[in-house]
Amino acid sequence: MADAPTAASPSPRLTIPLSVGGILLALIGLGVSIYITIDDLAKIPLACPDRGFINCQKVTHSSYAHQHGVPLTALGIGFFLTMLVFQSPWAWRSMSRLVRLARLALATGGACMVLWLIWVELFRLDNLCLYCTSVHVVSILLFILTGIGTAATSPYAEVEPDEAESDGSDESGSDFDEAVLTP
Amino acid sequence: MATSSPSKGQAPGPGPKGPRPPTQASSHARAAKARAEQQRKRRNQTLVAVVASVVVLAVVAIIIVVKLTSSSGSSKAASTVVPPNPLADGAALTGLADIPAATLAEAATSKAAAAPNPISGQPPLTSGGLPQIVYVGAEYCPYCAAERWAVVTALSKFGTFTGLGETTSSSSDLDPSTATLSFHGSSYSSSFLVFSPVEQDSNVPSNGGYLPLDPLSPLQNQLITTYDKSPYTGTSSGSSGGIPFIDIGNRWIVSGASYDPAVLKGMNFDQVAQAATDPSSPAGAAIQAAAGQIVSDVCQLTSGQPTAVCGAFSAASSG
Repeated sequence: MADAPTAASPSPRLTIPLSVGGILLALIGLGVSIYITIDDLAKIPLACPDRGFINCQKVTHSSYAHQHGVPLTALGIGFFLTMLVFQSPWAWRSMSRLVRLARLALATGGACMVLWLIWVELFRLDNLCLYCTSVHVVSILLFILTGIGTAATSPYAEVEPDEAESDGSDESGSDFDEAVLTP
Repeated sequence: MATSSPSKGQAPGPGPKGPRPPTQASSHARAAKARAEQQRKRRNQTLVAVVASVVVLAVVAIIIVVKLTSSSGSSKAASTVVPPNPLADGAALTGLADIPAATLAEAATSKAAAAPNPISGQPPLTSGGLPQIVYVGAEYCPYCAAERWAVVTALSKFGTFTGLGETTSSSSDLDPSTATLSFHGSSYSSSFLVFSPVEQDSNVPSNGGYLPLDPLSPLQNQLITTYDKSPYTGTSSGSSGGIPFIDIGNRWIVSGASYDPAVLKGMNFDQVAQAATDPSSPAGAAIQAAAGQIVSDVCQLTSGQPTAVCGAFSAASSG
C-alpha cells in the first residue's frame, strides 16, 4: 500500500537564489565586522570622519561598544559566521526544523539588536558610524531574506494521490508536523 | 469527495484506464484539499514574514523620524551661546606649576607617556623671534582633556597662564566627562616662547556635533593641514586631522593624547590636579611623563632657558 508522505527539499530554483543572496550579505557583514574589530584591536582609527554627526571613532569606542565585557564587533563576527553556515545551500535545502528555526531566530535576534543599536547611536551617542550602519543594513536584509525564504521554502511532502489515503501522513519521518502536498 | 467520485452504476468515464475506483478519486480529492490547505498556510507564513519585515523597517523609520524631529526641535530651543567655563582653581594651577623640574625630568625618562614625534627639515615655527608652540583641540575631546594637564604643567615652567577654564570632555564620548582645563579665553605670557592654543569646539552638544568656540587662525589651519598626518605624527595610519594637535616649534608633533585618558577616569578636577603632583599615582605618573617630555623638547627650542628648569633636564640626560 501507499507509503507515508516523505519530506522533500524545496526546489533549487528557490534555495539557490536565497543561498547566494544570504551568503553575499553574510560575507559583507563579516568583512565589515572584521575590519572594525582589527582597527579596534590595533588602535588604528577607522577610515571615517571623526568630527560632526558621522563619527565612527566615537561610536566604536563608546561605552556601548562592549556589553558585559564582550565587544559588539566580536558578536558581529560570530553572528555573520553562523549566518554564513545557515545561508549555505545545504542549510536552505535542509528539512530540519531545528536548522530552520535556528536560522530564523538568529536573523530575528540580529534585527532586534540592530534596532537597539540604531537607537543607541541616534539617541545615546548622537553620532552615526558608517561601518556600523552598513552592518545594520546587511542584518536587516538578512532578516527579510530569511523570513520570506523560510516561508517560501516551508516543508512539503511528495504524496501520490493514492498515498493520500494513508493515515500515516502525520507520522512521517519529517521533522514537521504538517506535510505539504506537491502539485 | 462525492462530487468528484463516480457512483455505482454510472457509465465508465473516458480515458485509457477506464473508470477510477472510488478510493482513488477520493484520494485525489483529499490530496487537492490538503494541497489547498497547505498553500493557504504557506501564503499565511509568507504574509507573516512580509509583515514582520515591514514592521522592522517601519520601526527603523520611526526611530529616524523621531530623531530628526527631536533634533530640529531641540536645536531651535537650544542656546547657541556656550556658557563660560568657571576659572580653574588657582591653588590647583599653582600645584601644577610647582612640580619640581627635576621630578618632571625624571618622569620624562619613564614609559608612562608617549613622547612627541620629532620631525626634521621643516622651517622653525617662531613668533616675534621666539619659538612658538601651537595647540589645536576641542573641549569635548577626551584626548585633549588628558593632554591639557601635561601642556599646562609643562608650559608653566616657561611662563604664566591666566584665564584657564575648568571643564570636562563630552559626557557621551570615550572616557566621558574627563576633568580638564580649557584654553578657551585664556592667555599665556612668557619671555621664552609663544603659545598659541585654540579650542575649536565646546562640549555642548548641538546637531550631532558641538557648539563651536574659536576658529583656527590661518597659521593653525596651515600647520594642522600640513603636519597632522603621517609621517609627521609618527603613526602609520592614513588618518589625518586628529586632535589634540601640538606643534612644538616645527620640531616635534603631538597628535592624540600622550597617555590614556582612562587613568583620569572617575576623578574630578581637584582630584586630577592633586594626583598630577603625585608621581606615584597612575594619573600623576602619566601627566608628569608627558609634561616632562614637552619641557625637554621646549628646552631645546629655548637654548636651555630658563636654566632653573632646563638645567634639571640637562643633568638628567647627562646623569
